[in-house]
Amino acid sequence: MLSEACLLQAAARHHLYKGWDFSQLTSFGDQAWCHLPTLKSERLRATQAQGRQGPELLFYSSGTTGAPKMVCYSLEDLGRVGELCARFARFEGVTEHSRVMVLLPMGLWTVGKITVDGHRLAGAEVFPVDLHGGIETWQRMLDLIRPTVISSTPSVLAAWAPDYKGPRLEMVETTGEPLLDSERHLIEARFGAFVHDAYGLSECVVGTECRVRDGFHYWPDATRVEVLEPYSDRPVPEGKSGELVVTSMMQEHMPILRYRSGDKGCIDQQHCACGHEGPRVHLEGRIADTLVLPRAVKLDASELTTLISAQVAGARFRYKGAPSNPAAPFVEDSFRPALEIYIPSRFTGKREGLRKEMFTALPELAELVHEQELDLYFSTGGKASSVAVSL
Amino acid sequence: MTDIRKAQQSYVSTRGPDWQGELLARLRDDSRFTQQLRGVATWGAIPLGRLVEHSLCSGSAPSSLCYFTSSSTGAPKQVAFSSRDWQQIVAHRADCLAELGLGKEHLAAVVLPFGPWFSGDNLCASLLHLGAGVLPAGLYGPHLPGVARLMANVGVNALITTPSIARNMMRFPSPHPMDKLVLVGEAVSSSIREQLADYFSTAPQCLYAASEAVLGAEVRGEPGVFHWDPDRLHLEVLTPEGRIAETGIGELLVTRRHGNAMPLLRYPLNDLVELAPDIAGGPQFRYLGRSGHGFGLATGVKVGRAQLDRFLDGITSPIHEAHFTVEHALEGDRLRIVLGGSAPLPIPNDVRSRFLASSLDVADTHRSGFLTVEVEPRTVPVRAKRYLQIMETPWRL
Repeated sequence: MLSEACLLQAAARHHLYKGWDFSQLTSFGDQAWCHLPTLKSERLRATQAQGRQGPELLFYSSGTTGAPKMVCYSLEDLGRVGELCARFARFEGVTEHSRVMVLLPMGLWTVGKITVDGHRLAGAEVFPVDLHGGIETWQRMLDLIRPTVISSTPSVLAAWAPDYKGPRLEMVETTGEPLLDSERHLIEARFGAFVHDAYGLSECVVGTECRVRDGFHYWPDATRVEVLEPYSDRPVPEGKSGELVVTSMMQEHMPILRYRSGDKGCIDQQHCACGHEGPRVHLEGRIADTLVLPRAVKLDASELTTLISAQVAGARFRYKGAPSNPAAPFVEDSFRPALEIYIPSRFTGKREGLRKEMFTALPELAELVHEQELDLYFSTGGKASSVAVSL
Repeated sequence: MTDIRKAQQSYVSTRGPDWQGELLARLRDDSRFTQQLRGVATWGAIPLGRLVEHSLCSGSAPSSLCYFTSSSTGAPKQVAFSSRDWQQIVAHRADCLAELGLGKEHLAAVVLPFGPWFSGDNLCASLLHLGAGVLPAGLYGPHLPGVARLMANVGVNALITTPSIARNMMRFPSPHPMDKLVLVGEAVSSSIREQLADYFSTAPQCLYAASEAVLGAEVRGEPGVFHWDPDRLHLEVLTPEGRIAETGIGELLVTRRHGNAMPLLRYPLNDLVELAPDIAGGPQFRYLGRSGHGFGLATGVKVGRAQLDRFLDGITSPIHEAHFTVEHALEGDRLRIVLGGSAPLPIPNDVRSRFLASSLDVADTHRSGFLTVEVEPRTVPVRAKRYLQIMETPWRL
């Protein structure tokens, strides 16, 4: 992992941190550190594409306002992130005898690539499988691969669980979205394996669960976590909840310092019953008004409003989604999340244009509608005459 | 003098006069080749290879990364790589990309399928190896408009995709000029090359690779002719007379000089080539098309005759003739299946579902929005032998 000095030098050179004063800083967490600003996703979006340096992999991290948010990794960064993911895998019990089916979005998004890399570095035999195709395809790939471990998102595994036809697994790993207690029970019952959930963002990988499953263990040499008051840069008292703000000690190419995750939670410094020393993060939901869509897709509500109202003045939306509170009951598969767009009755243009613009700005939304994971409706003036739209 | 080094079970052979004999002797010592080399006295007597499940290769290095490739049966075959194999194939592909002029100055969008298919991941790793920037875009129809916008937003100046997808991207309103356009997965005609060159403001160049091996880069100014690296591969052809030769026209046979997890020895790729005699600048071959009857799809997926026969055999209604017509259109491929049979005729939707279920990569192409399938059953007189017709629009070889 990077040293503090190395990370700060990289940040001082990077345009993301233009105007930040690192000169008084002697170590992380000191007074000068606490006076630094925090990094918000809006800034990541606003400062994209300002010149390229050396080999880098660009991942997409959503962005509804037309300027996508991209996260850039150098080869060395990917190696360090992969090493942290390998640490997670070994911690959970993945070995060189494990056959791991990584059923996650491949390509545009970070999570698939780093999960594959992590398990490879942990010595396992890894089979990357994209999410396209749904349950029938996943089942066919499972029959071909015969994995001992599956790594995926909670919503994918919960959707698959009732139809899962395969052997008991050694372990299931989930990541990318809140794991409901009821989803965990369903997945464990149908896949016959213990579920380890992990927590991270496209911008910064954070931690994973042990067998005690009382929070996410994280490693401060790789990730630093602070808890600040939402909408301000003031720290909350120790042990109290607030917005989780993360610093990655893995990324030098595009340093991530004091990044506001939009997640609510707290830090637990007490020793875990598993015996592992080190802090844990407890997640308590989202601070930001976020739509949590299936397959680990998250959309910022205010940005979605900006997108649709830029096309159709006065347009609004309503989203009927699955619950995200961990204690909420699991919603059976007859339920499908729905995004309803209200268009003012004075609007005379074509809805097709708005639909196209939404799908161009948000390829992940296009995918969910195409794969029938999400219903998208347009209605006029909030009346019941909604029209179902499909790709 | 031949120099064959065995480094971590990897064979590297330079081309000396006796290299085949010496390499064969080395291979015979390796338990992974025992079955294929039983009774083989000379290089020429090595039988045709097949993909062996890597777990059956006793003594092989453990595989680290596994992908799938299409097979004649429709059930994908596993292609396994150890960490060292992966490094070697990435380095080989990177050298091919460098031959095509890609380098540090490029930010390349890879619009190709990622896991469980091989090409996307391998190209990304190879581009990074070269020092280029990479946007791993993937290949999924609903994403394409968003990907086109992303490419413009982040300043992509090189595009790597299949000819069909490059054509598909021509429907987007504003042309995005490229410094490099690299095509993989399908052969491409001169008229399509011209169209793409006009739209992307650069002449397309081709890279020839399969999931099992990277073959080579197109020679500048000679469309369809590829340069290959004898230090990494040994290429031969199976001539129409059934003879294995080092020059001439025939089905391409590949021996990979590295490959710990899954060795590849005289492996047929079902491609027809003309292997040229060695010339200054290195050995070359000309791609002539697929060796078996079949057709290709926009994503680079190939559907072979055996796969179609197997699909037809699985239909319970009596089928006496079948016509498969593929039309490569700008927005994707249209496949029309006309089945001639006796009553009871099959139900079109059932046949369509069965066809899509017959192969994971065909189904993937359909779900990605690049293939529509129509089925029409009709009554025809009984035939003694089933008649099969495959037609493909002419732009593709």
